[in-house]
Amino acid sequence: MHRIQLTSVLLVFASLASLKTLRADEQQLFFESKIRPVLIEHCYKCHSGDSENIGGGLLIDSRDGILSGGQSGPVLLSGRPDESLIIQALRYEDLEMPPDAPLPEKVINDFVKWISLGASDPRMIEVPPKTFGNSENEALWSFHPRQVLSLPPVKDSSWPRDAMDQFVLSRLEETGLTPTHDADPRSLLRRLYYDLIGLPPTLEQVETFVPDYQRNASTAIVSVVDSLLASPQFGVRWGRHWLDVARFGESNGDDGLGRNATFPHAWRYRDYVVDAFNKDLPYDRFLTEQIAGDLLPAETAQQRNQQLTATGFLAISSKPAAAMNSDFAMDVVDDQINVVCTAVLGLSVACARCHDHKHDPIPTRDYYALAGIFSSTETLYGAAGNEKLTAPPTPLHELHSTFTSQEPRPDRSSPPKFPANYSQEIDALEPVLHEKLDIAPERLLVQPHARYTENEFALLKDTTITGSFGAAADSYSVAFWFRNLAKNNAKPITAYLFSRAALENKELPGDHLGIGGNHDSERTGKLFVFNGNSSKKSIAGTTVIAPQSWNHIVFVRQGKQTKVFLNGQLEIEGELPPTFGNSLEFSLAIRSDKFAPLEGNLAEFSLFARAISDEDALHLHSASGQPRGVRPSPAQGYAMGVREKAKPADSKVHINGLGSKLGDSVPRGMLSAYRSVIGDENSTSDEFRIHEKSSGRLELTQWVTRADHPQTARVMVNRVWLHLFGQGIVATPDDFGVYGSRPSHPELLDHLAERFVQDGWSIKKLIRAIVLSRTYQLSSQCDLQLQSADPDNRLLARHSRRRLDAESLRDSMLQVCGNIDYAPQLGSAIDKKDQLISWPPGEATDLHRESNHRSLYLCRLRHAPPKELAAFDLPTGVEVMGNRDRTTLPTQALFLLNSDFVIRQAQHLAERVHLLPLDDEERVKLLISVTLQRHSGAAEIARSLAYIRSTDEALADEITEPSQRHLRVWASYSQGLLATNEFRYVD
Amino acid sequence: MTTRRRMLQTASCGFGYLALQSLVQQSQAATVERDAVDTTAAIPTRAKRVIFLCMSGGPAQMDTFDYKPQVGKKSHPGSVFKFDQHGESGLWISELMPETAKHADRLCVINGMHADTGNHAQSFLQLHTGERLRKRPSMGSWISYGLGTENEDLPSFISLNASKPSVYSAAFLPTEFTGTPIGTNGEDMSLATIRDIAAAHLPQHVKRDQLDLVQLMNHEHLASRAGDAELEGVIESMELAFRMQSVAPELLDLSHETESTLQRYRVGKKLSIGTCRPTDFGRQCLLARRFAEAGVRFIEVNHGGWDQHKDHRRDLKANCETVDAPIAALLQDLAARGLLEDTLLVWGGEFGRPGLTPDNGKDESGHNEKGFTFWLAGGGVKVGYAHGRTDETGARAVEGKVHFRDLHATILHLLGLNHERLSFQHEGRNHRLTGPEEANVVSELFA
Repeated sequence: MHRIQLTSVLLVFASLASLKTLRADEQQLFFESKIRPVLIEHCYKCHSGDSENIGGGLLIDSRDGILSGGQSGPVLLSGRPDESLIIQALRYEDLEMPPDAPLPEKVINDFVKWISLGASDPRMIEVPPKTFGNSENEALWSFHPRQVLSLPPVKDSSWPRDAMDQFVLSRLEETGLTPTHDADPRSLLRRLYYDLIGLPPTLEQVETFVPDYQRNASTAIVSVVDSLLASPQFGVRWGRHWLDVARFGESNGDDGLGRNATFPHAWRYRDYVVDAFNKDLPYDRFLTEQIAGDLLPAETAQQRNQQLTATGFLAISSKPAAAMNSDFAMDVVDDQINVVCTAVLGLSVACARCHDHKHDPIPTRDYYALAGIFSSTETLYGAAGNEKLTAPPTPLHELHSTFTSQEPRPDRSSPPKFPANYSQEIDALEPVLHEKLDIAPERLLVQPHARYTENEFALLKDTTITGSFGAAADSYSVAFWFRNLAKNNAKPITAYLFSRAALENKELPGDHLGIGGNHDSERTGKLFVFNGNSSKKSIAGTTVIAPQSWNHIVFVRQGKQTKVFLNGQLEIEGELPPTFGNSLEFSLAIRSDKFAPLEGNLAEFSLFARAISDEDALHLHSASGQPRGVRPSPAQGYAMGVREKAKPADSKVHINGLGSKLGDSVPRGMLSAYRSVIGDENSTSDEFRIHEKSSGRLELTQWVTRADHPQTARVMVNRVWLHLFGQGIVATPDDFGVYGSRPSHPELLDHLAERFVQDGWSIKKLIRAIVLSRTYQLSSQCDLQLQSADPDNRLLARHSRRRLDAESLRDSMLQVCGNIDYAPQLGSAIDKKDQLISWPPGEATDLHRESNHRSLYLCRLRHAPPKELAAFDLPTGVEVMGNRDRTTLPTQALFLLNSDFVIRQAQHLAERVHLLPLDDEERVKLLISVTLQRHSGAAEIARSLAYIRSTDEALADEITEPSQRHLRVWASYSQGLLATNEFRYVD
Repeated sequence: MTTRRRMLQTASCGFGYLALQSLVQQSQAATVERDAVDTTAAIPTRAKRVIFLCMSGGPAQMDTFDYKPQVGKKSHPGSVFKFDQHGESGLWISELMPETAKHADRLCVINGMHADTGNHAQSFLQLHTGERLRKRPSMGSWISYGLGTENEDLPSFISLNASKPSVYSAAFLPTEFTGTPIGTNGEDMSLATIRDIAAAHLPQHVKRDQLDLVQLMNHEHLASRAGDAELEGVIESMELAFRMQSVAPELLDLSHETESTLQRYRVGKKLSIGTCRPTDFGRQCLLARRFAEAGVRFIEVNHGGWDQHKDHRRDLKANCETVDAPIAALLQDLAARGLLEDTLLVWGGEFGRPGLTPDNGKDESGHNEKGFTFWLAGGGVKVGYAHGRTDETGARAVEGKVHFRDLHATILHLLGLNHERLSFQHEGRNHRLTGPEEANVVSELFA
């Protein structure tokens, strides 16, 4: 028995050895004789193109099928039989295949052999690529190139004003419908104002426009449109639309463990987007900057800063907690793939993380081709609230006002060799204490003992060194060399270097000099001085001190002033009230309370009972003969974003989407569907081949912004159309794939996309053309017959009435009540807060602050939206949201009736009107014209006056002081006007 | 039955019925259509309201209500927690649900559930709306639309600890049937209320006058914009909001509940372990009882976190511990107050999970839409009954299979609604909760 087994094992080895050297035709023979018959007999029933139900989505009747795998991921890892799912299934380990009974061991060994040798499969030649039937092809409409057709004929040739009108009219005529009448000038003006800048016109603007329109409609409209497009408020409106798509948020949102970390620098991306829309940055460039801005050349520091900030697009996402999540890095990559594909291409590829999709043309391999691009990219999202369990802290892009010096940083990695007279030079400055530290110091207390060498001086780990000034010294100086071995990101504080403080006092009165860690991402690796818990002031430097490097420090305290010199350059200078009192004690390489000891080395320590001069401080360094430090300009701010990783690498297929089971590595690249589905060879041309030294983001932007990319332009023109008409030509703006809607006017969509590209991807030109079209300028009123013929207005015979979104509603209230501040708000309510906010927010942790700036600038914490907007269908900022929900809920009515915000605005409006020398009737007229931008009718005025009188009577007992009471009455009337549908709807 | 027209008439009280005439005429078509679905003559009404205990993430049926012991020599996927038979009926229930198990003789377990997809988002949407991909009216909206409200001062559809808006949306149904969320997904329910439910700046009767003025303007605005259902919906939602101001704060205030009640429901108990979120599920169940008593038609109670991919055992245990006692308390109270007779409880999630294999050391579970479990209670269903079954490994439903659309049809039937006739014209097509495919009322479940 044993003998037989041994023999068979030997046989296997023998055949393996011989097979290794098999020629291609012999390998083919092996496949044909040993493998293919088994596949046909035992597997094809469920796993071939002819199967009734394809098991697990797996096809193994072709080489492609077997390599791309099924729902459980790839089934075959070439050269690694034990890890191949097919072998595991044949062995009945996890899966059991074939299901009826296991195959004989000999057959399984054949498969093991075949896979060990590279799974040569000659079927690759005979099998055509994945083909899609007619209906599926139709479903893949967005993959086909744009078709630019000549304009369709129309019967009423006098109606169209623009080519796009002709497409619309032609569809209507086919259906036997006639467009409704043009909008009246007042409605049109209001529509233009809201659509272009998100604010209503004033009554004066209406009254100027109407006669202009009546004189010459076309010039009147063009002039208004051009001035609105040029207004800085345009970017506020349209930037917000893009922020919905970019899943913008200023905190992480719930990470799954109930933690929600602020993103204090996310607002810079917000401002970048507003600015991009205002300056009409061409859309292809806009995308390029957001995906690869860090890789683009820049002529000025400002341009470079903008481009770095743009990459925030890839970094601002909501991330699941990193704790107990070995797939965290892949989750970040997944979001990046998803936002690029969904926002830019209208394609959902998320499913492909785990499995091929039966009807979707995006195979798992494509997903991992893109994953390689993003996993070769380093995402800089910052400190994540200083909570590692949420996300490991990362650096951020530093924004500098000038290009940083190109001067190379000196190499400080080896121990400094001091000139023979260095110690004497130090002594010449008359320190009260000087220890070289190449041997144990006499006048310092070292616990436990440290090691000393001639080359590396004192070697410290968890060592406490303490000493005393001996006599009072309110001004003093200290100098030393040190090397830190710990990573800058590993601990809250990387190390404390020196404390002048009463030892062991938990309140820490005194001066404490240290190196920042992950407690504050802005200070990671940088020097800082802290003056204890009662005063809690600290100042920090800007230079990141590389771990392992040797550095020279001089700290000078003179009265309230402190200075720190680093390697002979002034690093920190500022006022820091002294708090050490009468204490004479100090600690070295550790804080006075034994917190955060330095792991590393210390040399040439000297202490002065006076503030030494700058000259002396610099001499203490220059006498060492070591290179002086390079001073970069201090960072002016920080931005979230991405940059290249040092070593780009391809990604391996994650079987079932999990990092615990890896399949073949997939070369970084673009989606293959364009070639496999519609035979578009350009899509995979050499132009988009990724260089081995780059992540591929730049190539990715070149690919998505190519003029003939079938989706990019279509998706964007559809987004623009959606915001101008209330619904897109494709009703699912984020899904142009198999499950999305089909375009209602495919030719119009292609016409607009082509025009968009021809016009240099200019969004303003596109918007201008659309709003000047006849179709856009139709009335929202129509006869009931037209309405019932096309209740959802897919054919555009009229304009769709729309409700103000959350931002426009609030902004309109601020404007009509006279409170709005049109200037951009600088920064954000949380721009200094790197912390966790409790989730969900209670009143105590409400980080929002009151503001009269436009709503775009309100702090958009995820899962804790601003109260003034929350009732009206805000996007969550977790997913791409090209089309917001539009619900009608009693909670919205409650906001209008009871919220602080609305009550306050109405109060303010009433106060303004109350001050004017008007009678009640004039006041009513004024309030109606201010809020609704129209004149009032007699019945309306009478009704209003009746309300004013009766309310005044009703409140007589409660508020006896007449002017107070009148104010309350007028405020309640004003609030009523703000709550009307007329105020909240745009015709 | 409260018809739509009557609601409008009620809404008009206080500011002149005539102003509403045109509106009523416009909505005549919808009213007639709606009246036509009133098929109470054909179907007896067993339940009047629904409490849907929605367990999102995919509850592991084999470790809760679908016992799969090991049989044969080789160990296979099955239950890894201990099961016992409970009550006179002897229903098998796992050790993770000890309190619910005491009510075994009130449960009607459906072990043969199956769905179309193992993707959370799609299946969750299908569970709520019958449709995986497009935005459609939620089950609660359909039921509110079909039956109207029992309490005109409250929304007919409330979603506690609500998930995303698409699952409580009325979609193309009149907007008044949209669910009202209290608390958003995962939020601590003890802090959740209806925002802006009150303000002290005006006395109530002045507020009424103020709203009358607003509504008058709204009606004039609507009159020149014939047939805009959304504007009409806003007008109705303003009225509802106004009435809610006086009723809702009282209902949300648990301070008059006894200590022992709060204890039974485990109000304030919040477990945060792995996927299990600290949502104060007990408070939700107690609120659900109070809303049911007040006549809310459809109350959805949400607990997320059943998606235990890693740490299956630990996280499942935490999830069960979170929901078990509160659900038992709810069953007990509804029964004691005679409400269980006409209140249908529905427990389940978007799909189930494959079982773990007890001996292989693995503690990870995925999704399984081919076989999973729901249970019903009250509302005219059988008691102590298990319907259908999955195969030996629990992998797929093999007997008494019930699809979401069958479940929907059955729930509607218990409420006296014919799922084929409860429909709404939209985009030129008649839409139903149960969709275009054939759905079956599972009458074996009826008592």
